[in-house]
Amino acid sequence: MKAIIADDEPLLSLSLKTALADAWPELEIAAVLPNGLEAVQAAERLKPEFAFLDIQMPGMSGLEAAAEIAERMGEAAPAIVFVTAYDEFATRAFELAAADYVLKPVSQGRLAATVARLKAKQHGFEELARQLRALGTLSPKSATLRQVRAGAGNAVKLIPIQEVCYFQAMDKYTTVVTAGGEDLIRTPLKDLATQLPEGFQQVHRSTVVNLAEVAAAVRDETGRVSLRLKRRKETLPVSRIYSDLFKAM
Amino acid sequence: MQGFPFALLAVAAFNTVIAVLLSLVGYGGSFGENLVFSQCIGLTLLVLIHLGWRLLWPARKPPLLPFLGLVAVAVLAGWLGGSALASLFLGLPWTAGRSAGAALGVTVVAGIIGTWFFWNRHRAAEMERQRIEAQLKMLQAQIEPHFLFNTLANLDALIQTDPRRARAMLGHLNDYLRATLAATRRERSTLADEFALLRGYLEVQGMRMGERLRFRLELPESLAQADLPPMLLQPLVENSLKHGLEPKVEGGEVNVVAREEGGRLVLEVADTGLGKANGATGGSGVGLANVRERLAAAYEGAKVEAGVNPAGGYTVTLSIPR
Repeated sequence: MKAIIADDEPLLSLSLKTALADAWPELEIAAVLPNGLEAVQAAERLKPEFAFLDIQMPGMSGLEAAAEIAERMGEAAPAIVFVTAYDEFATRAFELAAADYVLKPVSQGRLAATVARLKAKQHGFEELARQLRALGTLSPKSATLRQVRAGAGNAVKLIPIQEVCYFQAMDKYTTVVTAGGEDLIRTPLKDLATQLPEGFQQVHRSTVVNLAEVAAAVRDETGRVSLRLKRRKETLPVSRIYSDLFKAM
Repeated sequence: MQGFPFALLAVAAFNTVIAVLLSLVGYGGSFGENLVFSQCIGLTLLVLIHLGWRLLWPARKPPLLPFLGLVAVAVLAGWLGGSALASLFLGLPWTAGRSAGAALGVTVVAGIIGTWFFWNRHRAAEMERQRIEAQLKMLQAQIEPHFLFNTLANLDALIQTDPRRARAMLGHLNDYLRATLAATRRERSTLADEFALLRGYLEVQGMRMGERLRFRLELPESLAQADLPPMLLQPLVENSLKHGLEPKVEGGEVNVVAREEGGRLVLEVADTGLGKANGATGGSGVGLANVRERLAAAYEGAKVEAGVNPAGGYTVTLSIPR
């Protein structure tokens, strides 16, 4: 049994490592990483069964790292345990998504319970994908958007939300794609996603699609899913953690 | 009406004073009789007002006019009931005779004095409570739960591995919390105080971030006692960490420098973090706007400049006339 730990605060990763050595002596800590990106690389390289990821890390957060690990490793992805010191939203989200998490400072009693649960549970990829999808939809919703306002020279173009085929993230900007064309808006996709009405679905880290505009989901020989649209020629890749949403009934 | 035992003692003392005064002017009966009468009337009055308050306004301070109504009723009832009680104790016939009207007068005057005293006392207590509440709120805003819990987690880790360093860190945290608490209580502090607070804060953050945080504090001896509104620089340093250095993978440096320049006090907070341009986690600018407002309120002609640091990162410079 192998695990990796990622935390940007060195004392805290050391403390978790020590506590795990007591609570689960058979578990080998294969690597301790200071940020999310290195955690993703270590997971791919070392193929651990478990990954303990701090939420707030520079560069790539624990949640982003988890999604990236799931995306890159698929079935071989480790079971993810999130670690957080104080974050009302995160702990509530973990409860709702039934994701495993550890609170800092680590209490031996609580850690023992987590270890027992980790040992008992089957950690299939489907379970991890379900957790990550659930965590993705749990961000606090703000008011529902009816129109997208896109700047076009001196004018502001109003695009009714149902006209949108999909949104594509471009760094801090978002491309709004309709049947007739594309517009760039300054709102990041992450912020936009919390304002979208029912029927819009995240299918990839950088893509949110209007399900009404999807004609078919196509699975290639490697199991990768992509979406064909009704009024656009291009196809959209679907992340592994969202692939389950497009299984035949 | 809080502190009923205190009120009881105070009223009993007040009643005794009244009995002494009445006996001195030769009113009523013997001193003993006067004492029994004044205690009976005064304490009945107190109990009636106290009960009325509890029943009518169980959880809050009553509005003034209805409360005065309650006092008026209680004065009448206290005078009647108290005199009856006293007559009973003394075995005197309860006669609403000549002296009863004067007793009513004394009761009314004493009731007004007592009510005024307790009303003011209550109001002072209420104001004190509000002041402490405001202080706590300010403190809460300044000591973020995320900071506190992470720091405690780090201390927990250090206690096991390096108790000596744990004690040193606890000392820094203690300094920071104490300085923060003191700062919420005063209007002015000195640069030396502010720098001590910053050192505590940065030492604690340094424990959390390890090698990712380096810092330098420069305060010339000649400026140590210069005046400054408390907690003015801390939000700027906090911004540097939160938006500049913490989100940066390799971390970096924050420098706080005080110097004198052309008769002005110049304070500079510079970091080598992500800076505004490089996708720093979007600060709402509340911290900086607050600093601007506080400076403008405290000094005529103070200037705030914020911008990209030539060494990468972000710099805020405050310039204050001396």
